[in-house]
Amino acid sequence: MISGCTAYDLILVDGRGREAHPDDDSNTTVFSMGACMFRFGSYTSSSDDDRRMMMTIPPPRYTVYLVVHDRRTGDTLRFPISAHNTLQQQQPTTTGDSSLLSQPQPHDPAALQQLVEALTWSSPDRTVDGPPYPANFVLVSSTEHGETILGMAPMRIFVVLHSTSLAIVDVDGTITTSTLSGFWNTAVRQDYSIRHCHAGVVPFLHQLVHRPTGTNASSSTTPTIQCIYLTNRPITYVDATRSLLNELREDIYTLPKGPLLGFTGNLAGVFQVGLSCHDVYAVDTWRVHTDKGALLLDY
Amino acid sequence: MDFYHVNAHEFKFQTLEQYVLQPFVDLGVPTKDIWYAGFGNTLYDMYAYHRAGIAAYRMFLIDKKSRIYACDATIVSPGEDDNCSKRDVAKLDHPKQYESLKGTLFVTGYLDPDLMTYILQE
Repeated sequence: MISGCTAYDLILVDGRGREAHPDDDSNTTVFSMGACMFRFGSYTSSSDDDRRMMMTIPPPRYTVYLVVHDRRTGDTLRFPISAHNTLQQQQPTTTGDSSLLSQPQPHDPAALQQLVEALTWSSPDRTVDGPPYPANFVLVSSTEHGETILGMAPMRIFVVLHSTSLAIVDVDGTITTSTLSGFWNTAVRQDYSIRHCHAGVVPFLHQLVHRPTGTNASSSTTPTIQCIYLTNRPITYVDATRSLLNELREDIYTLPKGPLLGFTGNLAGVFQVGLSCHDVYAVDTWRVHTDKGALLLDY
Repeated sequence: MDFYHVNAHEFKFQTLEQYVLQPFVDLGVPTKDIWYAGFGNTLYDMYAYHRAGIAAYRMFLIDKKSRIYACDATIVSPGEDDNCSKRDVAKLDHPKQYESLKGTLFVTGYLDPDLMTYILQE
């Protein structure tokens, strides 16, 4: 099995009920979804014998699938992901057409509809209070002898209405008190206590999404708000970041549920990105240096 | 060791555009109706959010002392009416220019009750 399989969350937008525009070609589109973001770590064979054996076997075909649980039937559905990170039908009508790889492929509309029906059939009045739907990206190796699952990357699918408004929330420095130390304490040390976060951030975001209605004149016109958490953290730390967002508590409040999106590079790239922003504020007391290829931090 | 030479604001803007904005645009939802607010801690965040379509006065910048600034300071050109109402401004060319948009200050940050009132007002 491959280690280090991670994925960011997906946002699936439900366009049913929106006003039709005569000149708008998107009237035919009912559902839409962001591109898929996942990472499967490098595969290492366990022995020299395995490596020699792999060299004599015809190369397998690798396919990534989005696997979800169909809440209607109890079955497991899997949708192949194209080379452009888009959802395709469960049983594609054409196979082996390499010309398709060079053409951008949008999400297959039938696949999107089937996915939505499988996830939300039991909750037609879903709101932002509804739970996110767990799913997995699965890397499968196919040979003439059968299929082998090489890795699984758990993630969540958030179904939002087209009328929902989005609030983008950065993580390090915005929820946590500092960019680098916030990352170090919460992602590396996995310390999810509130002391590493700005005071009041959890109740504020909770009340922004779950605000009471009918208490002021403007509340009836305030749209439904969905928080989206955007981070510079590398994708390998997505589980630790999700844990932070799930477990952070302040008084009786928790952070509102929302998809997590982030950086697709590695840890070195994170510090490269972070250090490039430090000409705006005073430089942190962290010193970053390398020693024989290892990235070291001094605080 | 590999380094990714990606600027933070470019990465965030690309992520917002490709993974968040595009699904709504595909359904014909106007960009102005998609975003409600953006919270960040650097001017690079403000630059990325503004490029993605969040109105400047709906962007909130938090500093290390937990103070929050709304980016609602209007940019007034010579001869322009200084009493112009709060409105979105044109996209700026560099993240550092967003320093000039820091306006309304919420000294106690997330604990300030005026912050929620400000955000929820039309």
